[in-house]
Amino acid sequence: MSKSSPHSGLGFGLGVRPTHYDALLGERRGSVGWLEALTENYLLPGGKPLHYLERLRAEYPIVLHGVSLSIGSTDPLNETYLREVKALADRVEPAWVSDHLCWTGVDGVNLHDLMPMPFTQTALNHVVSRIAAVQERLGRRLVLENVSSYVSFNSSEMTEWEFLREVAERADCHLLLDVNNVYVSSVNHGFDPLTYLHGIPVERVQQFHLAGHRNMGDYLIDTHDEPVCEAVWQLFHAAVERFGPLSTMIERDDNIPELEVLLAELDRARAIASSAQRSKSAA
Amino acid sequence: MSALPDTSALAELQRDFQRHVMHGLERIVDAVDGSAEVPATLRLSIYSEAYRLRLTDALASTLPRLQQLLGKERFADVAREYIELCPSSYPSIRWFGDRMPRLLQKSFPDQPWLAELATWEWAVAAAFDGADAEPVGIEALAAIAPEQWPTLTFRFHPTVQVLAMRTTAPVLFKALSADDPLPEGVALDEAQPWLIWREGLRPQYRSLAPDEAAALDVMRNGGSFEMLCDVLCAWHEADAVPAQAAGLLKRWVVEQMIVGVS
Repeated sequence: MSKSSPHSGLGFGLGVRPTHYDALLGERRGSVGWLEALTENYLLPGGKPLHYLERLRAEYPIVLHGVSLSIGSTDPLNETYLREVKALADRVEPAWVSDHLCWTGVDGVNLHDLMPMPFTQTALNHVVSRIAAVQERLGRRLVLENVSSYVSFNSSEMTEWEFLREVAERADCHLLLDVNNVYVSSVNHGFDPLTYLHGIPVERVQQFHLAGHRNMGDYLIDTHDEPVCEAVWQLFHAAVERFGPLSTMIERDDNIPELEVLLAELDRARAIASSAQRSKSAA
Repeated sequence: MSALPDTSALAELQRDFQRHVMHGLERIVDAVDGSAEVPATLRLSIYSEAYRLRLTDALASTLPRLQQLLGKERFADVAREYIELCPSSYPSIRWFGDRMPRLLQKSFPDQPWLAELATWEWAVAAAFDGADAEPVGIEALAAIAPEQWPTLTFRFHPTVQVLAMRTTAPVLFKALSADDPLPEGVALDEAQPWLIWREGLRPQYRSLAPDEAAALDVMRNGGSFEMLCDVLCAWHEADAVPAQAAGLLKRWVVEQMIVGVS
């Protein structure tokens, strides 16, 4: 694989949820630039989900976003899963395929959650070799997202951003920068989120996620069931200044509102991205 | 010499972490940094609580009628036991819950409709996102020459299933889905066959009379039209049988259950 720079941007999009299928194909057709579909929701033999995914694909660029790759697990790669993801990608022809820099279980168990990695050389070598294998199986470059975390391990030998940078450069993969996750982890672990952003190589970032979280007082929980908060909007401004106007989307997984509400939130993302670009060119 | 990194320490860390999430074992606590405001144990509990919540939500979304019938609290108790006994190994959370009927059978032997309701919901979901196939139209039957009929065989849509239900679970399912007054669950003396399939994008179901159940059994196993007629002789007068057989076939075609004739 050549060390190409990330795809040109798709603009502003949303995570596609079944309650919005009809609006996205009907009265609000074309209201977003692209859609991100959750890979596992479409690893099915047939029926309504795939029917709608194909219709949406005819109208919008689609990105496939997985949650079960478990790239950091010490279990062997799940070859059946990889074959299914490849078959879905061959069918849908997504702009790219993404998952998370985490592990989701060991000893054959799937905890269905994005578990944190220790940031060690061993973990780094392990993840890098697995990304190479996955990129070969899928025949495409992988895009990996930073996760929100609540614990850090005392065995860690580097910061999360150093780990991400090393992973991306050594495995020659791209990154999905979830701005909310950076913020959530910065509060939970007490680091400066701007330091994090400045530690990530510009040419490796493919996409932004924006989402909401829950404030628990002393810590934050990444719930994806709330609107994007002010602090995350500010961090998004800084992210666009650094990385440019990359493909951006709002990810709402629970407490899903009417499409109009998310479209209004997406308008805010557009306005902030424009303002960030203006302030960058003025600087 | 192996070029692979030695991941045994990483594997042990992940195993300890997972044991904490699933079973509350505390060995991982020493490997985790805490702060005065948010100690390590509190940080770890975020993962173990989220694990149970997420899987309970997943069960509620694949078995919504079971949750409705049991009520939220009792369903949460069942879910907790299920999560403990049957951890997920599936990449997609949609399949977590496949062993729920067995757990309900054991936990509620006096209410066998609970296990059957879970079986039923699972089967309806399988029809919802089961494999696609293009149904044949009624004109396909009209085009067949009379001399070909005896040896004709039919391919059924991959979502067609026949379930022998020993309780009134499908009736409960229907009432719960429509928010109708809920009848009592009843255990039956004899199994009642039910048909589930998908018509277009929508799962459908109906109960089967004994003659249609026997007919479907023969035809789904590759039986010919002649064999269909033979089976129906057990229920109908010989001169009425060809019309009965043709009537069943027509119904199956109209209901989009037939995807091939040869």
